[in-house]
Amino acid sequence: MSKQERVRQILLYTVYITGACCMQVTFSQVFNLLGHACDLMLVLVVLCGYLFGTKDGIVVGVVVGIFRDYFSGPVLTGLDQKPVAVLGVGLLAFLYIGILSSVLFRKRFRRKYSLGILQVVIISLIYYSLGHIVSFIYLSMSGNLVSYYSFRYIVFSSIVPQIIVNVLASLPMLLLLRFAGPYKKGVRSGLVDGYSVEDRKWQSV
Amino acid sequence: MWYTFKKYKKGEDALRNLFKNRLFVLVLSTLLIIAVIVISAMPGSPLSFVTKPLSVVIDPVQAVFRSVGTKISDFYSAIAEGMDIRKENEELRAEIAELEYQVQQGEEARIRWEELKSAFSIQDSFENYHIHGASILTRESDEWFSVIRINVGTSSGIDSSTGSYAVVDARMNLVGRVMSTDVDSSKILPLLHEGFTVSAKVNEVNGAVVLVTGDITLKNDGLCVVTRIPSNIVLEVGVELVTSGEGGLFPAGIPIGTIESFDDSDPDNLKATLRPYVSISSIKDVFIMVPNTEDDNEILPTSINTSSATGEAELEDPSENTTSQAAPEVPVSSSEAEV
Repeated sequence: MSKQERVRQILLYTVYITGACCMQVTFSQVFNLLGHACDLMLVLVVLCGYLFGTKDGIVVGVVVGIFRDYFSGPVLTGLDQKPVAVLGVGLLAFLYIGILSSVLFRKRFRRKYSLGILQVVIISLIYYSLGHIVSFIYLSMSGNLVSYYSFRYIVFSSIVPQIIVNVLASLPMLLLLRFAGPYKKGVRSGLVDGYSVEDRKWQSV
Repeated sequence: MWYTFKKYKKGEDALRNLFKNRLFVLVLSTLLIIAVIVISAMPGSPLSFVTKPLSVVIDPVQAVFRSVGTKISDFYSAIAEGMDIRKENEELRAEIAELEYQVQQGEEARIRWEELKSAFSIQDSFENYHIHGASILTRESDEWFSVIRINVGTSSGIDSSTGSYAVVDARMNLVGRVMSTDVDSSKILPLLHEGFTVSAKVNEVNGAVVLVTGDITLKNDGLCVVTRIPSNIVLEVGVELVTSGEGGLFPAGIPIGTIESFDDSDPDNLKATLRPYVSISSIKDVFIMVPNTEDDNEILPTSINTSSATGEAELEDPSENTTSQAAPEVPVSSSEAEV
């Protein structure tokens, strides 16, 4: 990668990460549909990991995770039994999202832009399902579980609308990464996944 | 000697190979992050200082986004709502005229109140508090990442290491409490969050003391759960709850909301739902109530606290003035507010 390409990569990733994170937490009402705000941070990490490989997925995931923890970290019961906004949960979650989106169904999906939407659906499904499971287990273990959502509510009022909203957000994000992304023509040169040396040929809209 | 060197070299190679193993690096990273999570959950965690330098960089960038977004939103609102604004302007002019008359009446009442206050050494509801105005910077990311950030921090005199503070809206309704502070921003635990708990009382004479808690299943409907209701009490729909002042974090008398429903199916475990006055998704500005330090207070030898809710007066230790406040329904005077 030439110096010019490296500068473009860093600059555009900085703009996209900052933009997605700040827009999500600042204008969540604007990006709200069906009672759910689209998760721009998650969509960005999934698409970067899926389209540009594990390395990019990890870096973008870690940075976005830190932003997520900083802006609106999850509240857990601290060791002194008081609620505390902890650091690291977003970092851990988005590190794995970055890795998962770059390796999951890689051989079957290759890196075709249109299938990026399917990857967003799958990762969103995994993230929100695991989120509810972890949340339920944590509340049960901490003794704070008064009641929890019904299975029907989780599926039809939480996960499904969130996936729909995320898919809608992934459309403009895909176009941005394709035509004004960190790599020229939306193709990361030299991206070899081990399955096919001609993998990048699948990177077409 | 040569044997030792060879052994050392072999160990170094093994270590290098180990770090080339992606799975090992991933497991190691995961363990490190889990350690970070545990350490950050400790009281007085050193990791809270990590976010301070981060806030110096990120907060201005986020503020620019917010500023630009607000300007664009205002611009389009001005165009789209031009006719409505003109109509509203006319209505507001009429309202101003009426309010001016009420202000004149209020001024007379204020003078009378000041005279009574001086004569009976009555304290204003929140006169031992500095009120700091702040704007909401960021809102929740999803169901689990749900802390709110505001644009005041240690540089404005808000320091969570010395204790938490109550957060209210412009009408003095309860919004939440400050959890942690950075240089120019603070994290707020909102009222609807399942980790939020406040001791409340029915806003009437000898009102029952209950517990208001956020509930994960109710927060999407904008409701809280009310528990620890005394068995002989029936909370009727529409009854107002205010902070009781117990616990010392929230001063007494801050309005929380009204009862939405009451469940007496289990007499040993009475429950109710409460609809807070504050709609967190729609507010843009909040106010933080910071107790005055002892230097700020002119502590009377023995002050008389009166409560409009109970109508009772009791002698109170002056050292408890900052936490346990009386609650006459008098708004914070403008001279007190540092907004």
